[in-house]
Amino acid sequence: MEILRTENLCKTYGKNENAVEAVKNANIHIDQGEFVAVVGSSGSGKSTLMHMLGGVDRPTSGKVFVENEDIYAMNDDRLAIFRRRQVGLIYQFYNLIPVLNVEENITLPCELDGKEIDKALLEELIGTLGLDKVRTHLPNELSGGQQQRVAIGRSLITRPAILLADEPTGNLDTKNGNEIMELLKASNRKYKQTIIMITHNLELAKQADRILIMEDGVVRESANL
Amino acid sequence: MRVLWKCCKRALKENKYRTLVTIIGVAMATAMIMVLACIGTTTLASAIAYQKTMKGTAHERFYGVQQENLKFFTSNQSIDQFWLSKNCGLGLPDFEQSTARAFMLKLCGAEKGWYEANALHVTSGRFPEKENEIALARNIRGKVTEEIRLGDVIRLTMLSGDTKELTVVGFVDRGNRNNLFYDDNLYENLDYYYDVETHETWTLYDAYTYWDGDSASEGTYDVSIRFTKEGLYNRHEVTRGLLNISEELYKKKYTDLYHPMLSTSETEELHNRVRRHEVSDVLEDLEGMSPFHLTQTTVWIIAFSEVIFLVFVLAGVFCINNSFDISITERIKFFGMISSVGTTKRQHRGIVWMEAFVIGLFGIPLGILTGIIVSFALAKLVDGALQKYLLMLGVKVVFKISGWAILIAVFQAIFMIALSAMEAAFRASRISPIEAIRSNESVQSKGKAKKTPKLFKKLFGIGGGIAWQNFKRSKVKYRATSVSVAVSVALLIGMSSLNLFFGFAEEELKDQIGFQVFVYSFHKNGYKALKEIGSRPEVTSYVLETDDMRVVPEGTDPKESYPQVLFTITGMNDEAFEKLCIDNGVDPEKARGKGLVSNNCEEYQEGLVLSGVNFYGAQNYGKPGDPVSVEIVGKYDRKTLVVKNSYSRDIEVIVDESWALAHLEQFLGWGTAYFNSNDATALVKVIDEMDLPDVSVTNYDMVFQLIHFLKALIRLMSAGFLFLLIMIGVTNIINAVTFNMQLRMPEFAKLRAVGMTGKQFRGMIFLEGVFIGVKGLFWGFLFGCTIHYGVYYFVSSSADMLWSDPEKKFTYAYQPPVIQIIASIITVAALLYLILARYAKKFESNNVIETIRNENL
Repeated sequence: MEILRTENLCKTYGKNENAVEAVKNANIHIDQGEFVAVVGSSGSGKSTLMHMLGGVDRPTSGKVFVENEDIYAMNDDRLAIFRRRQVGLIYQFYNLIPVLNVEENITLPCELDGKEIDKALLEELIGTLGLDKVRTHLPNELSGGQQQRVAIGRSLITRPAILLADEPTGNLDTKNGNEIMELLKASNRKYKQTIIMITHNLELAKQADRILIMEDGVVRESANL
Repeated sequence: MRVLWKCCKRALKENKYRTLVTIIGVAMATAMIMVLACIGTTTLASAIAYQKTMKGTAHERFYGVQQENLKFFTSNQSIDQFWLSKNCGLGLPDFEQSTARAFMLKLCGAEKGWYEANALHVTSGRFPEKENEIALARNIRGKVTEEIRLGDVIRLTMLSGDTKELTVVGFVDRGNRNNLFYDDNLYENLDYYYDVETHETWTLYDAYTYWDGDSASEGTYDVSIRFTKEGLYNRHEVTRGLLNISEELYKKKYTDLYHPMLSTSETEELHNRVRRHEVSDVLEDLEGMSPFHLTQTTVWIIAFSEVIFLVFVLAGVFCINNSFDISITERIKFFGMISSVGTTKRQHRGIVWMEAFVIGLFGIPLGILTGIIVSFALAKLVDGALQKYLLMLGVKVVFKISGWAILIAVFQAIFMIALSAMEAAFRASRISPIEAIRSNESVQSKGKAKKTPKLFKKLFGIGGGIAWQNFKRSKVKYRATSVSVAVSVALLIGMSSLNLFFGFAEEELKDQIGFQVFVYSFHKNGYKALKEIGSRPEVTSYVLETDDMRVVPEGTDPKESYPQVLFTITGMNDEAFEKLCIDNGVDPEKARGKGLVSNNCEEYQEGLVLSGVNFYGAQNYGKPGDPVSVEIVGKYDRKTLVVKNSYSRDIEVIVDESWALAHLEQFLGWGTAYFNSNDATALVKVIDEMDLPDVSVTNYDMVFQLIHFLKALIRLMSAGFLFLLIMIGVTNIINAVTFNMQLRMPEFAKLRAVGMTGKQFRGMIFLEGVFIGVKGLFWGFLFGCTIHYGVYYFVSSSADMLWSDPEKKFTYAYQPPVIQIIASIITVAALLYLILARYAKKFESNNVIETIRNENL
């Protein structure tokens, strides 16, 4: 079943002679439960594509449908609520809130939504992510790997429709990177979580169900895995 | 929202320094507002106390109330207190009188409490407590040949034929008499009695005896009342009811600004319940002031106060706004991060409002408390410093804080915080997650790349090049700092223009008055009495003038109200006349027995003799006047007179004393004296002790001292206000530059990581400092000088209309605020240098990796 679809998605930065086309007419389809990797060289438009898929950055033209709803037809506040409920975002630099501890960072989207926290899910996530001993620590007291685990926990707490990960292991050593990959794969298997992961590491990309390649803003399907 | 509350609380804790600075800022601004509110309530309380001292505690007085009408006063729920007094008749005292016109005593019987309600107090002795006791008006003592002492028994022969023997137990004075100014006409509240049979007129002086307020006694009553609070708010309605008159008549008599004439039937209607009615309107207005019962006066006061409050609120906003703005700039990334997790615009605004709430929660009570303490100290200080003048005026400083004052200060402070946080809340709600994540908000990417001028790069090296690029491309980072510098400088220069007003006021004052004590006597022996004062050792020099003799053409009807006046003649004492002659180039010897004419006399030529008929004089009321002629020996300029700015269209002749004394009987005998004295207070005391009849005295020395002191006080207060604004400006610059540097620490760390030396860095940031300073100063000078010149233009164009002399022109040339400009340059340069030098030092000591890592956290 299709969960995400784009139609002629374009993003241009700047104007006139300074204009840069970051994404050109991207048309992609992703089914529920799929683990898709987007690979490409630096500056190829991967992050821009991911931000547009996650409702963070409005496209210059084209549409993004999530569960058959055009997300950019929404106003800013509805889009914020969409991000809160339907999208989980993981960044290379974690983007944790420095004044909140591990548990508070994970439950942040639920709190923002004013929803009751699913205690069982929280405990399960903290356990799975190995954050038991540091649950009251602030981000600056954690290692890079631990911080990225917190970011994963935060992105999964709302059971989002799509999980978008932008170079989730880019800032980590091999051991920690592998551990994060295992966690993502586990959540894909365990919760049938749709994952779109951006990476320039082909070895990591090969662990996904499907690979999309980006070159100079153009997206194409990879022939071989 | 719990999590946002946590974020806000912890962010405030994390940034203790900024939070503290902002709380202090809020507290300072709130304290300023509270002081202002306290000054308002204290002034109001003091003004009420003053009014009570001067005119008594009663709001209104109704004279000649018939016994059957008393019930309307005694059972009226709008009246809180009432005091009765009774006219006990007129009586001729048995003591020998020394005044030109005989007087009688107007005996008033009053109950206890009536005296205070009518501002009467005893100067010696006490008020009567028995029916055979009497208290006399203080000034009667100067109008008898033998001194009256306490305990003396006087016999009064009443007009009714009865006689009364009464023991003098006290001397009474009115509250409206003080040492600064008094006028017997006002003071004595003189009344006259005309005997139709003998055609004699008697002056009536007040005397008081005890009366128990028994309403069963005969005759009419005088009722003094104090309204209840509610009664005061509805006073017009209540008074109309008490007077028993129509609404139309009430409006015509009491509230119509044009005071139309009343018809005979309306006058009769007005007196159908009371003979006379008096209102202490100022006291009523002051005590009846309430935001819930708006009168025109209240609306004006509220509007005026709000303008002053607004100035302080805006000054506060100027300081606090920057703190909120910095807080947002510092946390753009934070807002971007939470936005990517799904916070709405409203939640962003909510975070800023929460911060504002916490800051207000601490800042406002602290400010209110500080304001009350400062106001109390200020009231004590003013009371102490001004005591001499306050005593003289009969004013007491009554320190008062009301719940209203606190409430007003709290609301103004909330308004100020809301205004300060509003822009920041708006900015926070507009932060886009993608901009925050990319951190590109502060860099302008529009248009062509700005090239660094080659010469510039050659002169200042790579540091200079980066500074140029930073300045041209990161405008957002510099805007707050440059604006802070510009606004602070504009305020400093603009506010300094207030001095122009003081210069103007001082010049006008100096021009007007060149003497210390002014005495005017309208008694027939006034001139002689004042001449006697002139010989007192307390007087160093003086100008004494007779009244003006109006000379009219022969055959003028003596009953004519406005006859054609050919000229007026005024006599002057020898010493002053001699000086006038010398000042106008006339030989005083030649002028003896002759006169000088004012310079508007066009027919003047040597040997001119002016003549006509004296229109009136002591001897010729209603009779054809005596012929008068005076030889003129020269002209005088009005500016050489003691009152320099006097202006008249009449031709005026000033004659020497010998001429005046020779014709004294043709004058009214009145005198006007301008005394110079080394000790004006002692001189006024001497005049007071002389108990001269029909005299008014003004101690200008005291007026000068008071104005001088008030001027100094106002200057001090405006200097304090200016200092406060400068401090706000300086704090603002420090805040803006410091946080700009703090925000850019990761950028500096990156520059250091790629090999920038300390020297290159110093070059770069000092150059950036020069750019910020020059830009800020430029705009500051532009706005400041515009305000400065605007004030000059306003003063110069309006001053010519205000001078008392229509020929006088505003002569001040515009002086550019050079000193203020130099002071601004030095202050801004010093501040920027000190802050930037601190960061230059930090640049070398900071851990590069740590700083960059912190940026990514």
